[in-house]
Amino acid sequence: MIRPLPLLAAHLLLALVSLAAALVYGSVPLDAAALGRALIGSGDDLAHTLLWDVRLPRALSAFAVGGALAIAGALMQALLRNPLADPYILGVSGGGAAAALLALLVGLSGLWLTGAAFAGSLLSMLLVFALARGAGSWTTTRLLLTGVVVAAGWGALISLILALSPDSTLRGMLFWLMGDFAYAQHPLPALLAVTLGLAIGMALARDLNVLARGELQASALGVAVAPLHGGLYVLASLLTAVAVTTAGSVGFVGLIVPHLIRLVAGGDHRLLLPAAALLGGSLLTLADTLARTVLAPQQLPVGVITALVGVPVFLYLLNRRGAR
Amino acid sequence: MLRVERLTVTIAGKCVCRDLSLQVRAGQRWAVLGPNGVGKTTLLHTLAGLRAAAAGAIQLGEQALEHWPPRLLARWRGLLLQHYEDPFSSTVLDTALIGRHPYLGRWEWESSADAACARAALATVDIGELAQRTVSTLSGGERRRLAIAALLVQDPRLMLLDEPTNHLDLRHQLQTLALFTELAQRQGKALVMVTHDLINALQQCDHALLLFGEGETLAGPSELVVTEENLSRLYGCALRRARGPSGEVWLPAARQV
Repeated sequence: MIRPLPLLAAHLLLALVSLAAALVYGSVPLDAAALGRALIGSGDDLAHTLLWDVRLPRALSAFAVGGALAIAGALMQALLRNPLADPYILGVSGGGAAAALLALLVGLSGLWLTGAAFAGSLLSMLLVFALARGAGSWTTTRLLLTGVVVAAGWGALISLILALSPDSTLRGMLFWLMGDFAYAQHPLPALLAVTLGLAIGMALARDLNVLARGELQASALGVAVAPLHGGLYVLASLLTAVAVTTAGSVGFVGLIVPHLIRLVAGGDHRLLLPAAALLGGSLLTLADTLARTVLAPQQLPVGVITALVGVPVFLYLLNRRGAR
Repeated sequence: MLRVERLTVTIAGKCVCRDLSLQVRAGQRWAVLGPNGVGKTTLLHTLAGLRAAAAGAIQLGEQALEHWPPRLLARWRGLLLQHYEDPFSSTVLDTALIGRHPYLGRWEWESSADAACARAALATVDIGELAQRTVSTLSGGERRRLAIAALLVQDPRLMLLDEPTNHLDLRHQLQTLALFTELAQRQGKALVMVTHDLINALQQCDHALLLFGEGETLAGPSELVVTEENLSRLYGCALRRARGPSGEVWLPAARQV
């Protein structure tokens, strides 16, 4: 049994470090003194603007999106009893992406783009839910297959939109598809969503522990499986929709972060969910900082960084575990 | 403890039992016998409240099965499944501890008393020293005993057991059956066990329910129900009663080849 408090404290520390790094580093570095002055409101205008209008909203957005994706991934894996599940597997992000690309194609931006992405995600969520429910029986296998097929459909639609789009919009579309925080200036909705999602997830955490051992076992131990399945699906989908709406389809975080925690701390969801939220947030914040600074002033898509850094780390942990 | 009245269970258009009535009292040990695919597991899951019956009533304790709140039901009746899936890795101790799930509040964590209870259950089934191992490293028989330990931790009054001695070596088969019989005799647990073991398991049961297929059933005390004629018809091969060193055993009347 792993002690929960040291683990969570370590993740909290990592979270603070990642947020601090996101504030300090950038195309114009801010040293600690300038940062402190800007934080308390004195200091020069540039530092103030940089901190409050650019870096802090972006860092908090990245943190919230990473947390939301990690929680959604953990929930989706428990719902489908499949370690390979990620937040995008059931097509929520595909619907969001298709809608966002259509919006970009017709020249919308700002709030319209955000709204389109969110509406597309919700549409996909309801579509999969209704199709999977069918005549009434609702099995996770059926949900998984329905979701995967609908996601493939969105994928085709996305390719079609990309093929039909003029070169001038293609770059923005590609960044959107790979995940990008350049336009994430309003972290509040995502922060609220991740806090609320984590609270609900924690209330369900022990039920999830039982559900992860199979539907029959869960019902035999007094878990009302059908409502739990429905609740998990909606919760994970909404978290994913918020994440996709904020930053596009940032890959990798939702799949890998829950597994990283499982490798280190085991599969108890009471520990897994908060630790995954913190680690997912930290990882994405650090990745976004790298994406902004490595080739500054040019920015890289953050999804590429998460995968490039995350893949070797994950393989290393997996091998170390296997060697034990 | 469990009263079944005019119960009809069907699955995929096939009738498992029609108008079945029986009563399981505290301390009784029932064997559910029948050929493969006749619906023994389906019936067991119906009795556990995991699937709906086509007709009839199941009463558990003082009230109808469908009126039990799930958490309270899980303290009253337990189900040992035929198979367990472990898609995510977990330790043996944590797996045994999930038996405490129906007793804990939403925000409550397992106490050291709960952990002690789980360790005791693991020791009872001889896997106490494996507590920190990962479930995926266990053998089939050890995994089976871990499932039994989780059921002991759950500590229900009515234990529904789906082939409890599957995968166990002979010594652990005998130990496990003796353990369940002791629980019935000392603590008044009621047992309903699906089994194909006509020697050891049948010796430990005082009642039997035979599922012949097509909805035909026969239920009652072993001495009335478990006869050469009934068992031979049940399995479609001639069986003879014989006296073994530890009691009555059932053996094929003739070599099949």
